[in-house]
Amino acid sequence: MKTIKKVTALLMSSMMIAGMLSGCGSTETGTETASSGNTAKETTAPAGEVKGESKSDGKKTIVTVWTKDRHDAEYQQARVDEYNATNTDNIEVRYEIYSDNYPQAIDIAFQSNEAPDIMVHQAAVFNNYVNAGNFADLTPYMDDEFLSVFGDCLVEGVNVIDGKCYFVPTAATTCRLFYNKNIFEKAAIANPPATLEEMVEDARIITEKLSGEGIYGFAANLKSASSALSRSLMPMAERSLGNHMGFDFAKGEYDFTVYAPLVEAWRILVSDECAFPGCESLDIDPLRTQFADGKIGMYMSYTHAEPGVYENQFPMSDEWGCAEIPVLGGNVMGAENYTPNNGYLFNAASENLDAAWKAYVAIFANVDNLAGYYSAGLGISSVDAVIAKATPKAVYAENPNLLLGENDKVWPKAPHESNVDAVVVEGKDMYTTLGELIYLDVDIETELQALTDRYNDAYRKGISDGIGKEVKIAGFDPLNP
Amino acid sequence: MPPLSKEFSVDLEIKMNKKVRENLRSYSLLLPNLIFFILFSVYPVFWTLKFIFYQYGGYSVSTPKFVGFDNILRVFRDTTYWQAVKNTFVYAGGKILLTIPLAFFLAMILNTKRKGNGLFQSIIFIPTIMSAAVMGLVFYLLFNVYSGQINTYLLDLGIISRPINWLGREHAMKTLIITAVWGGVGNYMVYFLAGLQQISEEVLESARLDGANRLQMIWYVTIPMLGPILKVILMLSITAAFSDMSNVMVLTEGGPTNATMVMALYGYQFFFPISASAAVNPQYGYGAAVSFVSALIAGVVTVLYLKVSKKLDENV
Repeated sequence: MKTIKKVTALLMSSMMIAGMLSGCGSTETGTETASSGNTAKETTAPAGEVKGESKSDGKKTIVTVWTKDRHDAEYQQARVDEYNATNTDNIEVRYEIYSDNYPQAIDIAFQSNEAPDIMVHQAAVFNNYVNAGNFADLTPYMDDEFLSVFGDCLVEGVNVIDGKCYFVPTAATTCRLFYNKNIFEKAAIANPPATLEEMVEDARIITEKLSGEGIYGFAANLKSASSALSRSLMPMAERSLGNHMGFDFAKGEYDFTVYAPLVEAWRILVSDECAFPGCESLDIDPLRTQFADGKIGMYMSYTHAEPGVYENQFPMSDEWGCAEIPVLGGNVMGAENYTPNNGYLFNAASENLDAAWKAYVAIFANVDNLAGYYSAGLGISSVDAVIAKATPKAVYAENPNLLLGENDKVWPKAPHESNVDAVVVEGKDMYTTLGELIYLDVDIETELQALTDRYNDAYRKGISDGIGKEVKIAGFDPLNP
Repeated sequence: MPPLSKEFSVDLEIKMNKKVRENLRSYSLLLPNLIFFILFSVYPVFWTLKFIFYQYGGYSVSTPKFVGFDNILRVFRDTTYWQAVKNTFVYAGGKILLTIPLAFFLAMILNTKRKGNGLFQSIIFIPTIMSAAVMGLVFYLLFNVYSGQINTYLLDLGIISRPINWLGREHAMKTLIITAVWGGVGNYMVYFLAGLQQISEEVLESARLDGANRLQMIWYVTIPMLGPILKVILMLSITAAFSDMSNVMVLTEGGPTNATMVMALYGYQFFFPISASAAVNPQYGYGAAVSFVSALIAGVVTVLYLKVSKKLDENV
């Protein structure tokens, strides 16, 4: 009896282990499964041969593109449809939107070897995977014609690493102060604030004069400290302190202690004296609805998104304006970082790279399409040839601060940006700490010093473990980073 | 030992074959469930246990690095985690202390033969089957500062002069507990109802004849007779409250400034982003360590409860 039980148990265990292995198998197993299931047309031969085979048997080469953007979906889908209907290479582009939890979708796709051929660039995705070799180097595909248009978009340390280009940004976004002109007029404030001190004072005046009507001076989407502060306090620190993400490039170490005066001013900004009630539990879209409804005097956000939001998503009857992020004491100590966007990353493991590049050039790196994109107000172009061809919407002419100016530059990446695994910070990160500091009655200097120590400890540990590299730029000029 | 007779051996073999056939049938019926249980419950536990000892940034990093007990030691240094543990106890305590008496009270009311009881039972039970996302959204609409219905009513009635920030640091935990009570009371009410319907009418009748008033009947008859089911309800509510996070994730994302961060959500955020706007820097190894310590804490609380309830049983 015991023997029979043992044999039965052994058989069952084997079956279960087999089940586990097939379900949660190794990468190699996954590759085979994915290859055979997902891209059956392309898996049996190298890309060139596949295309020949595809043409001969009439099957199309499928190129999958994933995006996180919904605001331009209609425009991009129309360009994709047009390409699918007219291209003579027998390529079909499938354009898919994954706006919620995009990095997570990419994570799972890479793990199961089902990553798309092309995916829209997002900083978190790029930083997570570039060091693991998941993205294709696009440099070999770029011919002279391409480089003559997009050559200026290749920036070492941004989209080019060690001579390899991984994406080509065609647009840019940065942060600005958005204010309600009608509210400013009602509160008898002539101009938007240029200094942090003026900003605090203006917010106080608006709240004092107009809170009876449900109108308040300032708001921030502090439900998520990272989402709120990355579009407000961080660019303010770049301009006011010449410090990007707490990192001092000249000294080659983190230093958050210099943020103290900003934190002090923010404590007033988010207090009942100035702020819209409930800022600390506000998401960005509810904030925008209240701004569109004329309840908020000013807030800070990204230039690429807000014009479209107030035209399509939450139409606004009041007139809004756009100004540069106010600086501490009126002294601009550094350039403001802008984010190159609308880049596309190519899956290094894709067997359709040639077809993917052809489709990409025809749709997403097409000057006519990009000019239409810019003219439609969907994004701010950073490509000269596109700017020359486009007719930007009136909103850009009326608000020149929406466009990149001479004070907007691309900063080098701080160590935790260039390699997320090399700076594993213990305890609260910079956003959580700063978010707490502006609300809680704790000693600012002590907490900022502790934050600095946590980041420097993690940074040095990464270097000593051989994962990270020392970042120090001799003669670093924050005004021209 | 004398050898077995031939007849006896054949008989034994027939019996064994029958037993094997019966067992095989049972095992084959169990097999599909067992496979899924092992795949989706047992295997992830062992996976998590393994990565406690590694620094692993998720799929983006090619090789996990063995770090021994570093992750566990880091948990003990992590003040935010211990703040989350404290919040979990406040949340669980508040939820259980409010849910159980309320569920019992509702069950007592509905344990009578009155018209419309079925309808009331269904209405109270609906939140239990509602998704946490919908529940969170509904409560966000009710409690948000600028246009929430709660503030609108309170302002209209003149009870308050300025909107209360229900989701701010000061009140967010209370709001979460209210949401949790609303979502959980129906479930426990059904358990209590099942228990109440098991109490024999004769026992209640004899207590009534002995002159017990309504309160005395509840205290001296109903509650003691509900003992076994009450123990189960309490155990379920403790384990549920300690592992609860969907509610928190949807309504406050653990904020503002970690004021409502609970230990389950704190561990989760090292694996996945809490929301589309939240930044995520996957730390699977540390997340596994946090989850392991959290499971230990919840386990210790449950065992303590079982010990206390056993002790009380012995004293009774």
